[in-house]
Amino acid sequence: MRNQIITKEFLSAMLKSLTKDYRVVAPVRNGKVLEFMGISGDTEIVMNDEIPYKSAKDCFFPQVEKLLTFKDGEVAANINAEKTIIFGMKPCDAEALRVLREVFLAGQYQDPFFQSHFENTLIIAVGCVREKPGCFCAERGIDKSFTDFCDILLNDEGGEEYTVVYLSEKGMDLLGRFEETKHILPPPERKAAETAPEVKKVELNQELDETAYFDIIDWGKATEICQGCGICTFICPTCHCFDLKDVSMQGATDRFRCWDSCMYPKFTLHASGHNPRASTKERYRQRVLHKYLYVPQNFGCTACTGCGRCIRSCPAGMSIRKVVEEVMEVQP
Amino acid sequence: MSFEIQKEKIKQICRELLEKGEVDVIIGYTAGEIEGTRIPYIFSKPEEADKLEWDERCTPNLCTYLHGRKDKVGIVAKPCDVRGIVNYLVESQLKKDKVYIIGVDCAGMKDDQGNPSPGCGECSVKQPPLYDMRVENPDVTNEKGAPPEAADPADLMEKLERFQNELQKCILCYSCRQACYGCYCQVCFMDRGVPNWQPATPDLGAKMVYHLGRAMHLSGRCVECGACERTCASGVNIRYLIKEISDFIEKTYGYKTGLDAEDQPVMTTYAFDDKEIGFLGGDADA
Amino acid sequence: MADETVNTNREWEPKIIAFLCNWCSYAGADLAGTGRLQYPPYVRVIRVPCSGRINPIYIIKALTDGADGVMVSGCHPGDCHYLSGNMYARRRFTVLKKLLTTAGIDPDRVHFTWVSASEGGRFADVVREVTEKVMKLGPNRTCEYAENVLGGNRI
Repeated sequence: MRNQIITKEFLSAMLKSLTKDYRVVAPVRNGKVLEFMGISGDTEIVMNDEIPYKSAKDCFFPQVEKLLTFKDGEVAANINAEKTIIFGMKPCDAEALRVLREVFLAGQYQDPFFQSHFENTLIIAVGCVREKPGCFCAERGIDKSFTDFCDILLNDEGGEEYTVVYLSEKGMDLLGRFEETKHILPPPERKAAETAPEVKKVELNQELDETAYFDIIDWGKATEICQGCGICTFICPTCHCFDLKDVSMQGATDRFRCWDSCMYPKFTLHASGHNPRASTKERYRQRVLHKYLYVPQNFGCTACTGCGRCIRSCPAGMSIRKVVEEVMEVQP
Repeated sequence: MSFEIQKEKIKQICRELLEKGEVDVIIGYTAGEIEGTRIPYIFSKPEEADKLEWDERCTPNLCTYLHGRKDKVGIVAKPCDVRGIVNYLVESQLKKDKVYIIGVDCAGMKDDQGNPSPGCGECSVKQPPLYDMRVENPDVTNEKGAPPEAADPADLMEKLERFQNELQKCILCYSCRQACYGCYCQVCFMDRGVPNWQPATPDLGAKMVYHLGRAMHLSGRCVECGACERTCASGVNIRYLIKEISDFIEKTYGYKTGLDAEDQPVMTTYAFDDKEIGFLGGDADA
Repeated sequence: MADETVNTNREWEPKIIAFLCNWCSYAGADLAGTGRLQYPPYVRVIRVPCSGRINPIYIIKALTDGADGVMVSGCHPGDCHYLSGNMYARRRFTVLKKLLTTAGIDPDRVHFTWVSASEGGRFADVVREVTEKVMKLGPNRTCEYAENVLGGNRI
């Protein structure tokens, strides 16, 4: 395995040299927090085991994205994603992308904007060494040190080195560009048993109808301390609700796609003034059921990878894991 | 050390209140899922009081949970929470007979690194200004702490840079609004469709309107609990803006928020000899 | 956002939003007009019932949407048609100006004053003074600065 190793120093230099041809996104310290940001030659890339507070989903699904421009009766679509390399996505983030791909690209209609971002992005994932407080990827059936939903996978060997494998042609091509990484190989075949340790999975019974869950626990009590802020949805790697917004200026109209959140009262507000999800209780229930029931039923994968971001960042200390476990205890 | 003594006393008070039926629920702190964190805890059975916690990590401002409650609530309140409650009384958002304040002397909260929590370093109100029952800490005095490390720069360009640098981190999730005790509008101005306050530029312009608008709405109402900064997952500190105008209001109009329930809110009152600072041909800064 | 056709200060004309109270300053502006007084033509007047009606967010929104200057004028203290509207407004504007200055928006972009219905001359003077100050500052690039300088490495 010795020849599968590169140093962090080399990797940093390599990423910086790639900024000439690509937009390179990596974890960077921004004030008090670690965040995925575009880098340039003099940016310090953080290469420790920390996890950025926000997922890298905005590389594929930006918070504000200009979709269309209407001018003089013509419509121009803005599909021109930059070639991007994302370094530092954790396996949970990469697996979350699998969910986003299902949502945006599977089925009858494909989202061309997402597709363009997705196809133009190369993912360098980094396995986690330790679980962080709040993480529960194991309970979600995700290996913290391996994912095949990336192009290149690194694993911290402690100290200054990474072991490297590639998992796609894109990844192989990129490694082939550098003398030092030409010889890198794909990973050996993994045995299934190796990757599935015995832990109780956090998931809901998919056989049940959604209405069975509406009063299964006292949702009001479970969400009593929730402040309804929506930070959990913004930093979540799989949340993907959005709103469209038209802005007119100087004779042209731009259509923007902006993130929205099911935790906001306005999300379900009807034009009549009626709001079917009137309080935090209904909104939080929707968030849990959407992740653990509706997406699995519609797309066959659970929209939660156990990255623990929503638990760590919640100002009130709500824990989606605890709530789901509470439901699991009473579900038939 | 004295936190332990205070904790036992709080537990005892809460248990008794619920046993006697003086309150319907208690809002306090308990341990969160992540080690060391303290989260809000709402309970109504006397035996549940055993799970109460009180130490230097009890940072959330609990008075947000008072809003809209119909039952009689006992609340474990730090001085900043009490100031929030007092301001609720001032603004007629709460009736005094609906709340039982267990005012706790607070030696200052810490974050997970052991540094003073936002707002705690420079705090000048460490004993509750109003209470039904006080849990004392003899070590705590109302002495003003050290001023915040980053003073407001004098140069206008630096001020702009500081403001924009904070905005740059913001992802407009509105968690500062939700955590703020003072943001209790049923519909926030940012959520209104008619009129639409969202500016033409959906990104930075929106952040500017939001933070400036919110700061303006909190002028003379901020109790310096630091919830906005502490809550922010992105590490945005917009509290300095509000702090600056709070200090300005204190200096100009002699009003400090949340100390006296008989006050009139400073921005809904006036004096004939109010200074016209910053007006064309107006007065100089106080 | 600034128009592409105006690049240099010479061609640039400031956009100044003037919020005028219906009872005094608007009438004052009217008087300046009927008196044929000359003043710079860059103000866009918005008539409001009272200076106390002006939500500070009007001013904030004007600035973030690209106005180069904002001017607010109401009745002199004590003369308010609604007895005390301008007194409340006075506190509000004092605090707002402090806030905007703390946020780095030039204090010379935002102006408050009192003009009565009989002060047509004063209205012209005020507009002249405000325009001069805003002209000196140039176009309002507060938002653009942020987009270009700091927004660069956001993903």
